[in-house]
Parts: sequence; structure tokens; C-alpha cells
Amino acid sequence: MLVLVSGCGRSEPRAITIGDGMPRPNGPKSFVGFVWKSVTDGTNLNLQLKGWSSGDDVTNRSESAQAEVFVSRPDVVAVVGHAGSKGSMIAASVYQGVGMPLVVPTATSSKLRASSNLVFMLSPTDSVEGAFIANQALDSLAARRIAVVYVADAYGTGIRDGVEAQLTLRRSALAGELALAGKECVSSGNLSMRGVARALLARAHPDLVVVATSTGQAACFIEQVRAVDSRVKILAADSFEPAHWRVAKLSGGQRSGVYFVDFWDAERDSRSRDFARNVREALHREPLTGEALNYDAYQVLIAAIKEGHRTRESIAQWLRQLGTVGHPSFPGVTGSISFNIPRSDILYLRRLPAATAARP
Amino acid sequence: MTERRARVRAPRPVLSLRGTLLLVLGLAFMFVAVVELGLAFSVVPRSTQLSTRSANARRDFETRTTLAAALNGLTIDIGEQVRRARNGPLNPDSLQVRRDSLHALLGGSSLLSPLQLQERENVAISQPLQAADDAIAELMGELQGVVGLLEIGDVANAERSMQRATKVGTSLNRKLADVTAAAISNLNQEEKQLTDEAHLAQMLVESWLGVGAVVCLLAWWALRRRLFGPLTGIERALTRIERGDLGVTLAVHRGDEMGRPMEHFNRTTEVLRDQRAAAERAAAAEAQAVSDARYRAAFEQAAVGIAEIGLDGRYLQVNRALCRILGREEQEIVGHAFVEFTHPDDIAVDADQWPRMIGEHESTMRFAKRYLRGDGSIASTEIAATMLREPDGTPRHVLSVVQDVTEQQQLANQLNQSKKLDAVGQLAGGVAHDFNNLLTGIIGYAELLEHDAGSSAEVRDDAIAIRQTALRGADLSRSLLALARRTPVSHEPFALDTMLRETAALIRRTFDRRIELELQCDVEATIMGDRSLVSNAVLNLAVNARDAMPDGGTLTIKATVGHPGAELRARCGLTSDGPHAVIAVTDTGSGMTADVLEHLFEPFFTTKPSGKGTGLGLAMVYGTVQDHGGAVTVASDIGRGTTFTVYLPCTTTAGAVPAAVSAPVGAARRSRVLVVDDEELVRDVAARMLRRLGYDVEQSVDGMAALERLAADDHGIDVVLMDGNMPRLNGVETARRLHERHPQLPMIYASGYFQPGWNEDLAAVGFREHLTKPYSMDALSRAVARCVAPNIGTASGGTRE
Repeated sequence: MLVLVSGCGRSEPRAITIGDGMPRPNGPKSFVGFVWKSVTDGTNLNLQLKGWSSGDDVTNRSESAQAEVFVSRPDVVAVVGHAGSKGSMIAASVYQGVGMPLVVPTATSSKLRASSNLVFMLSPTDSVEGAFIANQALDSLAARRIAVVYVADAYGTGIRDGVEAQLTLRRSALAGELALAGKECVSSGNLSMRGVARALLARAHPDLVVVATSTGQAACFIEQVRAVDSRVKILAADSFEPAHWRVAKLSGGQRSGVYFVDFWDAERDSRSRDFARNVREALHREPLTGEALNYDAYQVLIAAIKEGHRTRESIAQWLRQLGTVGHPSFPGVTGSISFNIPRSDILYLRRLPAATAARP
Repeated sequence: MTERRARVRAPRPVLSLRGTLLLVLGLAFMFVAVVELGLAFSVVPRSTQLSTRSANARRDFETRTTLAAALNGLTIDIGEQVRRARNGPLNPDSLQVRRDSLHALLGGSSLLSPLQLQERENVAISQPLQAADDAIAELMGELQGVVGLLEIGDVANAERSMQRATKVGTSLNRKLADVTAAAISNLNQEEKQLTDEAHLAQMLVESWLGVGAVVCLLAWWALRRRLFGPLTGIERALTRIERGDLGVTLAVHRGDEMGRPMEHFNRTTEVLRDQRAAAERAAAAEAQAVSDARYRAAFEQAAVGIAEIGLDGRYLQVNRALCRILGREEQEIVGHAFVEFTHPDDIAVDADQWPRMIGEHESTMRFAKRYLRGDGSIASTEIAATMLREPDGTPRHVLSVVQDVTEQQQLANQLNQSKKLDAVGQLAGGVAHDFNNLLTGIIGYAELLEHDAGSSAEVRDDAIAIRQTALRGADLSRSLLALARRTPVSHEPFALDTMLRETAALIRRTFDRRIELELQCDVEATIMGDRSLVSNAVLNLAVNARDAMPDGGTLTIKATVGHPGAELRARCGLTSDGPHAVIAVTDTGSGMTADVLEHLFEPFFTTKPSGKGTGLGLAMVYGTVQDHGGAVTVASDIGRGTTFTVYLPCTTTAGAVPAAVSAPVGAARRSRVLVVDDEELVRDVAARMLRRLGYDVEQSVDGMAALERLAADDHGIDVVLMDGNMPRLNGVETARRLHERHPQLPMIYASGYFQPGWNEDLAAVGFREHLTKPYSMDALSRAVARCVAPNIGTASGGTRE
């Protein structure tokens, strides 16, 4: 997708391009247009947005290949993306060699943050989120036997490690854990998930299970747990989307005792409310947390460019200085943005409502 | 210069040499850069990428193959657990082991090891790999489910799940096989790509090498044509210039960095040529001036006569030496024909030589000819004449080099005269001894008859006539010896005037009365020499004058003293520049021709009728004058007379003239004389004259007989009269032996030939006197008397009648 915004009837200044590293094969392209219009409105800069290469088979297009596309274009001064910790880590290694700043809206991997000084994460790291989850489980949900079900990838293991570390600090320990391959819900009857979920409950007897998997697996796990135990609380990590269609299919009983972590509060302040209102007006739906984070990612880059930073190096330097002496944090819709320390003030514990509308 | 410049073709404006080299090198650099860039941006990255992709694909494949193998094993193991679970509950620990195994596989599975970056781009591989990954995940999920179901005792669902796991495992193996096939296919494609890339790289490198070689050849061609060629031309031109050849011009074809210096070079050499030509013209003019001056100086100062003679035979210019040779001033010569100065007798020579020279028959000729000097004398010359021509061969004039050989010719004549006289002397010397012995006998016997009291008056007159005739023969013999310088020449001072008056008296007494003698002698000069010979010479000149005046005339003898000039001394060979007695004998006779004058002093040359002259008179005069260090010249004028002039070194003060020899004396006492002579006639007449003089006489036939006679101490001999020339033992050797035995014995040396220098030698061997044959009885008497009584007469010198 390529969005070109250029001034007319004036001398054409040098084009400044931001790469959109978020794969959106079937995503709401209208949202990106909305965001871009919002952040570039009122500027006379020749700003351009370079998305995934037009005509490519996005499905089979790797993160690295898209990163190479951005790197090969001198006018691309920064990239927003990519999807998830795994894809972002792959792309970050490409950007590291050419000094391309990468603003990551949603990924949480601590390894990603530590991998490069050019990675600027808007989401809290998995260790921070794990600690938040453990604290909330112990304090807000009064859990005493906490088990963890996680997908065996960077995201899941990161959350699992964060929870365990915090429990250890709280002089507690995991009652049990279950690593998933991610394909336990593909067979008819979900026999695999049935087996592993019930075995976990039988083996660990948890009163709260932290789920760090995809939303689909989390919903599948909730189904199997609720089939045998309605009291066990389930706390999903940030990857849980309440509007996911599998979540929407959960019954009220199944949804009971289910909590999840969120990174944005639409009622946090006026900026958040304005953003939410604008999204509703423009897209006729409720805004998502990921969209708010994406919006902040573009906002912070446009701010740097507006302040005269037109090169990758100077933009990266500007991003690093946010929140330091003389360089105030950037006021985003998700909160005050500074990349020097993980954002721990944007973690919110949500309870899964009794019913949610499924978003296509 | 302008024409030469015009001939040099204007250089062709081209790209400069520097520009050419830069262009060639730039093209080469660009080509290399393009090739290098092509390799850098195409081949090398492509190869590196392909190599990386191959390594990644291998790693991905190996990872999944290993994991699949482990899962297969675990599937079998868990399947075994399911079968066991049919028979009864399983040990929880064994399930925990399987669960831990699955957990370990999950921790190291592909979920945590995503596909490599580049591999994701390869759809052919990434899709099967992704499908395999999905199958692995599905299998692991199924196996976890089986373990979980077994753990909760749901064996039936565990079996169902196990069947599904087995199916998924089978699918996994198939998918891995697909991955393998895809990988092999991909590897083949990549191998083909690598091969193509390698071929491309090879082609590029080969192309680079080929183009590089072409560029090198082009660069070499350009350097050789534009740089080395011109440099070689410049080097050759400089070499020619070092050898002095400034006619070199470089061919300038281009107006580049080499062409411009070459044009400067050509202009410089042109300037140098002009300067050198000017310098050469100046040097040639200067050399010509110097040459002319040298020629003029050499012409003027040459020791030989040089003349330039026009083709008409007239002198164009002459030098001082030629003026001296001809005895004329330059203005008297220049403009006149050379024939005018030629001796009349040599005009024929000119008539023969000149046409040959002018007619180009000869370019250089050498010949001898005589000139008539301004004073009438003759100059003998040798001429080398050369025809000088213009550069086109046209005759210009004749250069004549005249060598005055008059003096050399005179010297040659004198040498010829001397040779003739030497021949005569050889002849005279050979016969004089015997002739004098004969005359000694004739004169002796004539004197005996003359002084014989018993002789009648007629006999005494006859004896006198015989003696006088013999004396004339003795004079003849003496003249011959004198001519040959073999007569004894005394070196005694005598008064010139006295000698001339005595000679004049003799002439008046003997010459025809028609000859009028005029003697002019008012000088006092003393001559050192042989008075008799000098007198004879004057008498011979007088006789020659008399014969030139058969009808009478005036004979003038004039004596003066003067200093001969240098020219005369050189011409006549006079060695002294002191005073000379000049005796001129002049007649008024018929004169002599040049031919006669030329042979005048030659022995036996005479113009007199046969029997009237011997031809020795003037030759004797010449010899006498030469013996006295003098000279004789002759000047004759046909029909007017001849003058002989004799020059003799002298002193102007009167010297000590020796007193006259005392008169003959008779024998003082009766002494005994031994006559030693091999000639019986001489021995006998000497013995008779000595007996007539009152001496006792003994005779010895030779030296050996004399030695025998005087062998005893008491030999009774008072004087020995010894012949000088004897066989077996000559007079000197005999006297030496006698003198050794009888030192007090006086001896007299008698010989027809005597040199004054012999006195001391003869005295050393005991001779006290010498007599010159033929000797008179008076001379013999005086000599013997002086030996017997030494105080009588003089002790030095011999006597002769």
C-alpha cells in the first residue's frame, strides 16, 4: 500500500518517507489513511508513507524482505512496525546495519528491546507485563496457585518468564505451566487442547491460569477449562483481543472469571478521548489498542520530522532524547512517551465483559 | 627561412598527448570500474546470497529433519504408552518423562527458530517448510494432547488423538520429503544460477582481460606514435646536431605537447643554421683576408722569386726576390714580357715552354733558363711554373717560382774544375817522380859539362842549352804538380810590388816588342805564400794576354789593395773579408766568347793551335790562387779585350821578408858523402857533382844497402844524401833507423815532391836538409855544405834551382 501526500502548486520539497512495516493483507487500510491524514494534516512537508510493496504476495512476503525494501530507499527515514515480537526482531536486524529507526507499537519482547538501540517500543516489555500480570493475579485477583499456559515462542516465553520472575520476587512460584505448539485446537473436538488443559488442571490445581497465546488458542483453552472447572480464573496477556470472533463465541459462563491486559485506556485523558472520537467518526467503530499505539508511533515520528530531523540518524537521536533533561516526553494518545524506560504506566487489567461484538 | 618554414607542413590539431593518455586511461578505468561494479553489485552479492541461502536452507532443513526424527521416535514411544494404557493405568512418572520430552522439543523447536530471512523469500522452499513447521506444531500439539489424555485417563480419546498424531506424523514425513525435493530442486536452480553467475563473472573477467589487453595495445600504440616516436626523432636529431649537422628538421605532425617542442626545436635549429652560416661567411671572409695577407706576405717575403704572368706573357706582379734576381726595380718588370729579360740563348726555351703551358698541355712545368740582369750579368735560374685557373677551369694566369741557382752553378763549376785538377794531379804525381829523376840526371850532367874546364865553348854552350831546356821541363813538371797541389808550396811572406816588378822585368825581356807593358803597382802589400808560384801565375796571365794580342797591344798589370764585397766573396768563395791584393791583368786583344769563358780554367783547354799551348797555364793560375785562399775572375768583351782579376789575401804592412839565400859556396873540407838512391842515373850524377865539389862519395843502391854500410860505428860518412822514394825501404824509414844508431849523422832528403808540413817529421828522423828534384849542383853544394858546416846558410826549407 502506498499513500502519497504531496503539496500542489508549490515547489516540491525533498520527499520524506515513513515506512509502514505492519503487514495488512486484509487489514483496515482505511485506518492507516485515517492515521496518516491525522498526523500530517496542516504540514507543508513532502511527507510520504511507504507501505508493503504493491503487488507482492504479502502472505509469503517475509519481514526481512520488506525491511530490505525500506532500507533500499534513501527517502525512508523511519519505519513503524512490524507485527509481533518475532517479526520485529527479524526486521530490526536489517535496520541495525543502516541506522534505520524502528518504532514498534505492539511488540513486547525484552529481547527485541535489547537487540538494537534503533528499536523504540511503545508497548511495555514482556518482563514488565509479566510482573504486572503476577502482581494483578496475586493482589487484585487473590490467586495463590498460578499456572501459565503459553505458546512456545518469543512472546509466550517472555510473558511466562516475566510472571515467574515476579512470583519469585513475591516469594511465590508457578503451580504449573504448559507450553503449546500453537496447533492444539485444529483437530475436531479440540482433543489436544482438551487433554493438555485438563491434565494441567489435574496436575497443578491452579486457581488462576495466565494465558499467553494467540486469542484463538486462548479462547480454545478457556472453553476446555470451563468445561471442567468454572472457578478457575483466567488472565490473558496483551495479545488477547476481546473482539476476536472466537472470543465473541464464548458463552457468558465461559467468559466469567476471564481477565486480560490492555495497553490503552480510551478515557485516560482528552487526547485519548479525542482520538477515540475521531476514530468513531471516521471509521464508525470503536478504536483498538493497537490502533492507538500505531497512531502514537506515527505521531512521534512526524513530530521529529517537523522539528527538522530529516535523516535516520537525527530522528533516532531525537527519539532517544525524549524524556531526558531538556527534551520532554511526547504526549501521545496512549500516554506520555519516552523510550528510555519501559512504559509501565499504560498497563490496564480488564475483565472480559459478558458479551462482546465480534470484529471482522 | 620563410620558404623553409613554408615547406614544413602545418601540424594537425589533435587532442593533446596528455588528453589522449587521460582518455585512454579513463576509458580503461571506466571499463574496469564498470566490470568491478558489475561484479560487486551483481555477481558477488548474488553469489554470496546464494551461498548464504544454501547454508540457511541446509540449516533449516537439518533442524526440521532432526526435530521430525525426534518426534517420530517420540510418537512411537507415546503410541506404545497408549497401547499400554489399554491394559491398565500408566505410571505417572513415565508420562512426566514424555511430557518433559515434549516440552524440551517445544523449547528447541522451530517455533523458537524461525525460518532464516532469505529462505522466507524462496516460496518454493518456504511453503513446504512452513507446512512442515505447521505439521510439526500440529504433531507436537497432538502428542501433548495424547499425553494429557493419558494423564487424565481418557484412553479412548488418547487412542483417537494418537491415530491423528500418527497421521500427522506421516504427513510430516511426506512434507519433509516435499521439502527435500523442493530443496534439491532449489539447489539445482541455485547451482544453475551459480554456474551462470560464475560464467558471467568469468566472461566479465575475460572481457576485462581482453579489453585491458586492447587498451594496453592502444595505449602502447598511442605512446609509441605520440611519444616514443617523436622522442626517438628528437634523439636522432640531437645526435646529428652533436656531430655538427644543423640541417636536421623534425617532422611535426601534431600540435600536441610533443609537437610544440618539436616546432620550437625546428625554429631553434633554423636560427642556429642562420647564425652558423653567418659565422661561416664571416670566418671565410676573415680567413680569405688572412690568406690573402699571408699570400701577399709570403709573395713579398719569399726567398725565391715569384711572379704572376698574364696569358700574354707579361708580368702582372713580381716580388722583391725576383727583382733582386733580375737586378731591376719592380716598375721595370711589371707590364713587360718575360721574354724581354730572357738570356738570348734561352729564348728558344721560352718559345718551347710557354705555348705548352698556355695550350693546356701542361699545368705545371719545371725548366732552367737564364736571365739577363740589369747590370748585364747572367742569372741562372730554375723555374717552376703553374697555370692557375678559375673554378670553371678557365686559365687565369701563370704563377712562376724562380729559384736563383747562379751561385750553385758556379760552385758546381768550381767543383767540376777541382775534379779535373785532381785528375791532372793524379796523372802528374804519377810521372813527376820518374820525370824529375830524369831531369836531375840531365841537368846534372849538363852542369858537369858546363863547368868542365876541358870543355870547349861550343860544348859549354850546348851544356847550357841542355840545362835550360831541362829546367823548362822541370818547370813543366812543377806546374803539373802545383796544379795538382802536389808541389811544395811555401808559406813565406813576400812583397807584392817586388814580385810584380821582377815578373814585369822578365816579361819585358822576353815578350814581343809590340806588346806594351804597363805596370801600375803603388801599393805596399805583403802576401803569405809561394812567391814563385804567384809570380808564375802572373806570368801565365801575361802569356795568355800576349797570345790574345798577336798583332800587339797593351798589357796592363795593375795591383791594388781592397776589400771584396759580400757578393764577390759569396760568388767566388772567398773566406776572408780582410784586405786582399787585387792584381788585374788586362789586354786589348780579341776578347773571349761565353763558351770560352765557361771552360777557361779547365786543364788542357786551349784555343791555341796545336803545339802552341799546353792548356795548363790558366789552370795553374786557378790552382795557385785557390792554394793561396784567393779567387780569380775574368771579364771579357769581344773585340775589346779581357781582364783577369786575381784576389789574394794580404797584409798592407810590409812583413819580414827573408833575406836572399847566400851564394853557392864550395866545399870547406874534404868530407865523405853517402848517396843513397835506387836510380843509378841520379846516384851517379849526384856522386859526380859531389866529387866535382870536392867531396868523397860512396853510393848505396837502396835503404837496406845504406843500413848495411852504416852498420858499424866507425863508418867514416859525414853526410847522407837520401832519396825519399825507394823500393824495399823508403828514405824516411831508412833515415829513422840510421838516426837511431847515429843520431849525429846529418842527412839530406831528396825528392821530387815535398810539402812544407813535412819539415818537422823529417827533422824527427834526422834529416837536416831537403832538396827538390831536379836539383842543381849549386843547390846540392849549399845543402851538403850546411850539413857539414851547419852555420852556413839557413837551416829551414829546401832549395831549388
